[in-house]
Amino acid sequence: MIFFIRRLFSLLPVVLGAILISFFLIHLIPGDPVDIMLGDSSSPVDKQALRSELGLDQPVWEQLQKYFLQTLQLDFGKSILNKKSVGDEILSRLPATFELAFSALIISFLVAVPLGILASVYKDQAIDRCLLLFSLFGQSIPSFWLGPLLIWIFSLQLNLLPVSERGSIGHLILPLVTLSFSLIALLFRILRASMVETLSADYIRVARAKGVSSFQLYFVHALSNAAFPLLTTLSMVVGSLLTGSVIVEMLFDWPGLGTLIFESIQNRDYPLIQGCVLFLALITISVQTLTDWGYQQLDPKVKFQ
Amino acid sequence: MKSSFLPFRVQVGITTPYLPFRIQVGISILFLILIGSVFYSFLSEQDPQKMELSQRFASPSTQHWMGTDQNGLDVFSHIMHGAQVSLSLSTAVVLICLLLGLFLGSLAGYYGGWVDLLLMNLINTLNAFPGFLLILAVAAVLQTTSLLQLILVLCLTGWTGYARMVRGEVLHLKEKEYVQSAEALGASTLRKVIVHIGPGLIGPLSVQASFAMAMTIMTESALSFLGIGVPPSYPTWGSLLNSGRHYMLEAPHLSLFAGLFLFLTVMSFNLIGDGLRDFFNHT
Repeated sequence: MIFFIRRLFSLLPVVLGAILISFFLIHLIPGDPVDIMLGDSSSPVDKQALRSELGLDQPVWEQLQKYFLQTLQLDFGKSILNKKSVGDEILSRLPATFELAFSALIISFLVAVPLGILASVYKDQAIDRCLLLFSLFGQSIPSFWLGPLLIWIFSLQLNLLPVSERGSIGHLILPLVTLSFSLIALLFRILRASMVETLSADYIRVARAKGVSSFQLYFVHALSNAAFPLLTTLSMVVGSLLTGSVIVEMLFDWPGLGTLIFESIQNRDYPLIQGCVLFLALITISVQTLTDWGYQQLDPKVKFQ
Repeated sequence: MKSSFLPFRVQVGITTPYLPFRIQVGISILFLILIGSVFYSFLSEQDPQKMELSQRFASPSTQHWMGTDQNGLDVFSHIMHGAQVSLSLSTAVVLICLLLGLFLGSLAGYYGGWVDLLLMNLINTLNAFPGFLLILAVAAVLQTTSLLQLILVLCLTGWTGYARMVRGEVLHLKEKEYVQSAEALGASTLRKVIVHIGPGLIGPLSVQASFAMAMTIMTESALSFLGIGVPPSYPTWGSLLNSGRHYMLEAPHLSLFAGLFLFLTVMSFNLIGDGLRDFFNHT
């Protein structure tokens, strides 16, 4: 509990900073934001209406105060395009993004963990080198190349899987593979390095000498200690999954948060962009806090300082 | 070299003829791409700006090595020109970020106190925005119209990695005995940081810089793939990949080659980064 209070206190500047940055996003617009949002052909009455709606006719300091108060009440403003609340828009897109991101996360762990163990057990042998090469490819391949390639092979040439949109399991496969590929490579690398280190520890040698089966040795004795670095990267991973989904969702017409961000950029719907950016930042901060807490709960060696 | 430069001499071993295999592979691929991007006009006689609508979506041939795009433009020239844009832009971004991170990081690491607190909070705040989201949003809002603007936007979050790393290293190195002895001998702060602590940073910095090159090239391409960032008048890999996506059936070669070069470049920098990391960890 004390941990949480201290942690929340230390988070305060970061959260305030994130709100501040997303507030100033709209002030970065070169020229008059209202002109850009509505276009030159709009009537002065409309412009004035939008300006006072966004509060842009007030001094910056008052706008900032208002923005802070609104954000604290989890009110992210209104979309310019359809006047809907940004919060509702985000919530309506969230399930699709979570479906994709969570399945990518689970699949990545399921693939990366056995491969990481395999590589560390056969360190410097052919299988390890192949897996390392594979992870180098995974880290270097851009999702916006992999995605179209997969579509070309599996949808256009082989006619096996649907090209886009959300629906059956079949629709999930291609975006899932595209999103997980680099993640698998990353998790594999981290786990392999940590397993290699763990496997040379004395207690592993003791367990081996006592006749523990290989499976138990690797998956229980070694993995339970070697998996901690994976936990610490979880917040980074969740963040990159959420941003990675902008490209992947756009590639596959997946109706999630990423597509929402892309559409709002194209429509110059700045309050919506602002809302999405702040929302994702708050999610990342929360995940980071939770992983720190989980880390401390699981590993008694780590004490929060 | 004088003995006072001892840590420097150990680090500078990179100038010896031996280089790890991975670095050799990475440098070779990059060298070929670089040569191609500088001399492509001699290699292929196709004018990159010449539209030939009769030649739309031509498949790879001896005339057009990598085929043509929807306007009949030569894809090979486009890709090689894109390499110029991508590589020079990313080099500029990485250099600016490195210098900024080096300066702020050593300031925070050496002096600690409120400078450190301020910097770390700024870094944590910038890092709260996941991945390249902040860059994406700022580039979209600014509607970057020049390369300079784009470079500045890409620098927005890039320097934090260096600053964090340099801060940690300086914190660690300033407690070392040789730095303390230098202090006892009356070395000034500037001398301590530049002559005694600085050389210890070369290894980690070069590792980070090569990974950052890979990252920056990827981010820049992702932005131009989304149609944000690099102004449309510049041919980039990202924009070629984007137009290739729309013509997957007629001309898969558009996506294929543009992505291949992006992949190879990113991979080379990752290889060099890996190699350098092993190299410096073993010395």
